[in-house]
Amino acid sequence: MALELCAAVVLLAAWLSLVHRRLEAQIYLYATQSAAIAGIAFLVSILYATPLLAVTGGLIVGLNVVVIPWLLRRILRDLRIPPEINMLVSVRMSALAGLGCLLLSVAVIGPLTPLAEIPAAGLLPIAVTVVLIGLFTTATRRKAFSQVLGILGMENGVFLAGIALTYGLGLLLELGIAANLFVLAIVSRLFLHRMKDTFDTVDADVLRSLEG
Amino acid sequence: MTPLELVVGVLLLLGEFAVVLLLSPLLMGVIRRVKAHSQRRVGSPLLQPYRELRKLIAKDSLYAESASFVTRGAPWISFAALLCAVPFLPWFFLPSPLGFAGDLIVVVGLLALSRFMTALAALDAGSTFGGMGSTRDMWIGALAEPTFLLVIFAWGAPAGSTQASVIVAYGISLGAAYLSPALLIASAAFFLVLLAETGRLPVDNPATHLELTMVHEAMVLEYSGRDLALIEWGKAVKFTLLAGLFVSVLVPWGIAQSWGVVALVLGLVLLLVKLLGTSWAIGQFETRVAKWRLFRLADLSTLAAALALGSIVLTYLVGVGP
Amino acid sequence: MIYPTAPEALLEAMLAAMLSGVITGLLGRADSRRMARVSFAFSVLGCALMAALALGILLDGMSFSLAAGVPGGTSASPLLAVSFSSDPLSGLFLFLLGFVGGAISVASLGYVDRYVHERPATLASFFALFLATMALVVLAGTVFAFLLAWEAMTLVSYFLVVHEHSAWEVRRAGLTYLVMSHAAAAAILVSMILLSIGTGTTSFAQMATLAGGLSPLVRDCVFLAAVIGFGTKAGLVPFHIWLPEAHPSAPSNVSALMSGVMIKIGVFGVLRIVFQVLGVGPDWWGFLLLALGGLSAIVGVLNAIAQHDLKRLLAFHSVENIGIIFMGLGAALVFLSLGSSVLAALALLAAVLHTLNHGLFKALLFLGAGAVVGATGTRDMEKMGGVVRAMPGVALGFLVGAMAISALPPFNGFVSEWLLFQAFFGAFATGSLSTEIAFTVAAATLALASGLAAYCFVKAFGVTFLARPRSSAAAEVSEDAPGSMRGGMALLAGACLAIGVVPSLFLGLFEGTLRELTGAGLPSYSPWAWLSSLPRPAPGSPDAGGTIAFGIVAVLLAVGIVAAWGFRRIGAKAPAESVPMWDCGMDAPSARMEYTASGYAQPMLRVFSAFYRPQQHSALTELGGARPGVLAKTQEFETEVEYPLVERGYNPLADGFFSLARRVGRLQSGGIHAYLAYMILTLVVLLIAVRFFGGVGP
Repeated sequence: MALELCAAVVLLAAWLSLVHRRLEAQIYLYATQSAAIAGIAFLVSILYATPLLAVTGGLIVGLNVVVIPWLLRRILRDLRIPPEINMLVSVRMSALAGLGCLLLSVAVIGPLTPLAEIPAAGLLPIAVTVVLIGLFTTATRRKAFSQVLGILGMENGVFLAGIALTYGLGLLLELGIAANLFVLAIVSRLFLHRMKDTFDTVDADVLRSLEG
Repeated sequence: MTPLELVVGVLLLLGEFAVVLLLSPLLMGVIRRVKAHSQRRVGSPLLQPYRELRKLIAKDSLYAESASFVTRGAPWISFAALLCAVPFLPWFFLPSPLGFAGDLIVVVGLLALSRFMTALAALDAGSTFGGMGSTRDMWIGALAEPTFLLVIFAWGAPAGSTQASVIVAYGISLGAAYLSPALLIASAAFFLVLLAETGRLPVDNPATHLELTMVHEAMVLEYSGRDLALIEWGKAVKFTLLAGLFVSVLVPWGIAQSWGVVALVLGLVLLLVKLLGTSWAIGQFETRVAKWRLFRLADLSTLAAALALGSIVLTYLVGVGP
Repeated sequence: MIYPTAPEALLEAMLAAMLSGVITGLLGRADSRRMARVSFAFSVLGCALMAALALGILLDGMSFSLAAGVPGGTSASPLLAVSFSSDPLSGLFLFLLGFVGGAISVASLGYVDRYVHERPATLASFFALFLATMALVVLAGTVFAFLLAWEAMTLVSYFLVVHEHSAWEVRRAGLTYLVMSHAAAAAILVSMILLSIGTGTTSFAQMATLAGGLSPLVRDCVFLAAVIGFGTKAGLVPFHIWLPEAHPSAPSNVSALMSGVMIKIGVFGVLRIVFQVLGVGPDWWGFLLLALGGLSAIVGVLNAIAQHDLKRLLAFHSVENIGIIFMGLGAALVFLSLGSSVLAALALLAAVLHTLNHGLFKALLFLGAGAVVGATGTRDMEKMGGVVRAMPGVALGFLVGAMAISALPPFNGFVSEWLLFQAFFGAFATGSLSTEIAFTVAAATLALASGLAAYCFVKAFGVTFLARPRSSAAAEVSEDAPGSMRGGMALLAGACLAIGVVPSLFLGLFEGTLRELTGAGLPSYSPWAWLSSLPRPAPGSPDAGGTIAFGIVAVLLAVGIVAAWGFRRIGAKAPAESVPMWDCGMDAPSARMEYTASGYAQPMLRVFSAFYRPQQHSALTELGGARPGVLAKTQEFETEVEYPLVERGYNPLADGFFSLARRVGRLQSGGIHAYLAYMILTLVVLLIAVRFFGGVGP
């Protein structure tokens, strides 16, 4: 039951992040989603007696729920990024795109669900949906900052898929991804900072005009 | 059915009506109180809505000169339509004596009837505000209706029925396994429907007195006295109906499965707790959101519909229960 | 056998009454109101006989079969065989025709008397003929009889549409109608010829037993041709463009008959050819009908919202409701192809019940609109308003119709839509994801359509009847519609309420049709107005679908209304007082400040702007003075709504035809030699054709 609850929260957070216009809320949604995934990790580690996963869960709480959102909020504040997202696709279309992602993953991954180690709660299709939604977000946002949020969402999805398929990937891999992400966050922060300093903007459309 | 069962059944039916009628102003009071509290205000007393009703009942009704029989009839019909939905929803015991007589689709129909009458009455006097409120309210209702239907399908599909009592009984029988992602997402969609249908933030601001932004208040500008009392009470009853449906489906446990005294009392107490909890949550929610621009509500309803449809997809995928 | 007479006698009496109606209408002068009344009285009689015959067929097991017409037709040329026979399906539509047509005829007595100023007797005569031809279409037992009656029906209705032909728009609408009808007839002809050739018979009953042996390709072609042909007559999107032109142009009693009954003949055709003759098909047939139906429902209602011509608004609602009916038909076909006849019967019941229901409330609405349009002399809602005070009877009737069409309990529209929702919900018992998703989307579409319909009818009723008069014409309306008109409306409104409260009393009418077309009977119901949707094996639960007791809902509603009324009245101090409307501190709000029909529709235009593509024009003439742009003398604002289907779909098509016609027209050089040459050429071609393809000679 708790597993289902967490899975639902993960999906819901991804979906809402598609339609919410405020960056601040997006960060909260990301933190909530990460917390739910950590919850799933803890639950699975208890239910299937895989203590390693609990460690990963703790890591997620530390990184994805606390550190990264804090970092993102600081970037938001320091760079004075406008609080509203500039979307390429209307909110209505985005909401329907979420549905499309879900349908696609159910149609493609649904038959594979019994193969997953943890078939309960449809974790696998939900994970794939989250990845797809993240991809969609990344593709349809103009600002580099909100694109980073999309990538973070994708990473959450990949992680969830990992749990569903193998009780969690090996701890090493986990650490690898987490570290990767951490680096990504820092790099993006620095990068954004530099870009903002240099070009006075982090709008990807404006940046493109600088090409060549 | 023995005569005794018949008597008990009728009494319980009346009990359902009484609970909804008497409790609904309290829920309004709770929401206001919670909002005031979280905004660091003292706020009005918890029982203020009852006093307002009493005040309105004591006053005379006035009608605009240009008003026809529609204005005079609409409040009762609208109120009656809402009351009519009471026995079709699960409250604190199952099976409800008249539960078989209507399913959730009927509830949608009755809500639509109630809305239709008030919207019509708003046009009756010919005031600009009335027209404004009327078109907005019907607009919101028309956009919320498909989502409501989708949610009914999502809730009903695992139980194989659109009957609220069957869905709830099914939930109780499954235990914790009932709480699937599909159910939760459908319920999230229903929460949005609830906000839209009952005119809460971010759809409509129940506390506003600026005519141009009002929806519901603009519609009832011409009403006074007991008619207004019926309308305001009806609004509270509508909230109670939808909030009751929401918690009963989401957390069905505790609803009495038999007509035993202990179970009934327990069910009643738990119902009270659940409803107060929902009201508290709505109050908290309303503190945290601003009213949306009217035309962004279409985004909200699209999101709700997409969520509801998504939950049906999940229903199919995950299956329900072990 | 309860009936004292044979069905043939009833049929002949009915036709005789109709014929008398036709003749009396033509006997006197064309503008004789007395003759018009006599003629309509004959129509009433004919319709009553028709309804009696229908009830005999449906409930009493009457049946008849008459081979008539062309002498020796059956033996000499089987193609020309003409026969009229009865079965439950024809009985059902005969009942619809008899009851709704009868009520409209009653209303016509007063309507034509007061509101029709041109040639009332001619109108009455054609009206009777129209009724008779529709009855013959429904009763036709062979292809030839069907096509004959169908063409007659189309032509007669064309003359009725262009009755007030002095106006240019009316003639244009009539032309559109005629062209579309003939395209439809061609499609129907194709489907029937394919069937006749394939099965070697022209009798529908024999076709039904033989059509299973046709090749899938032929069956698909027959299906598509039938859907195009009958869909055009029914007003299915994208073949609906004639409907919003023709219905408003006709006199209102004719609009009522066309919208209430004639477009249902298109539904009848689909039932006859697709369900009865072709039978079970591949599942895409059903999904196609479902999709077209859903499209029609949404397109119809969205267009209706944008109208401020009252009758055009109602016409677009016919498109919407035909869409709902076709959604039911589509669902039934899908269930049939999945082998679930019980669910198919439920969906089909919803469709045919909605057919009857729509006949009732749409006729009611058109009659109400006719009275208001007649009294105010305009179809523009922006010039109405406040009519409720002078015409309370008509207003009440229209209100009942508006609530019924918006699918509000306790009226009949709600019953059929409830059944349709239950049928869609039945998809969860089939276990196929695509069906589930499709039907869930269909249910949401239906819910959206009925929500929008409610929106539209609050607007229609509110702007037309309520508030203060928006023009002097509306202010001058002083009396209610004639008694016969209110009587006809009361009949229809009563039927709407009766079916809404005790639908089980009427379900017997449908049983034979359901058994014949799906093999399964009615859902279980008990006579005291309660209906359970289905016995259905549900996962994990033995319980079934949804149950509803419409009667109990209605009683609860009535008790609630009485209780609320009591609460309102008991102990109230003084009788309610009338005061000026609250004016927000300004003085004397005028009728110009009321919400208009266009204003009411504006939120929808905003949200569905992708559909409407509203074009806004505004013009400002300034008062001049020191600061330009500040003081406006006049300001105009106009919103236009586009009809992409007509502008980008039909108009290019029509242009293409015209240019083709011009090219063909060049053949008509006018010289005698050219024509002689054509004749010789034709002869040569014919001879060659006979030699090589005719199978003549050695």
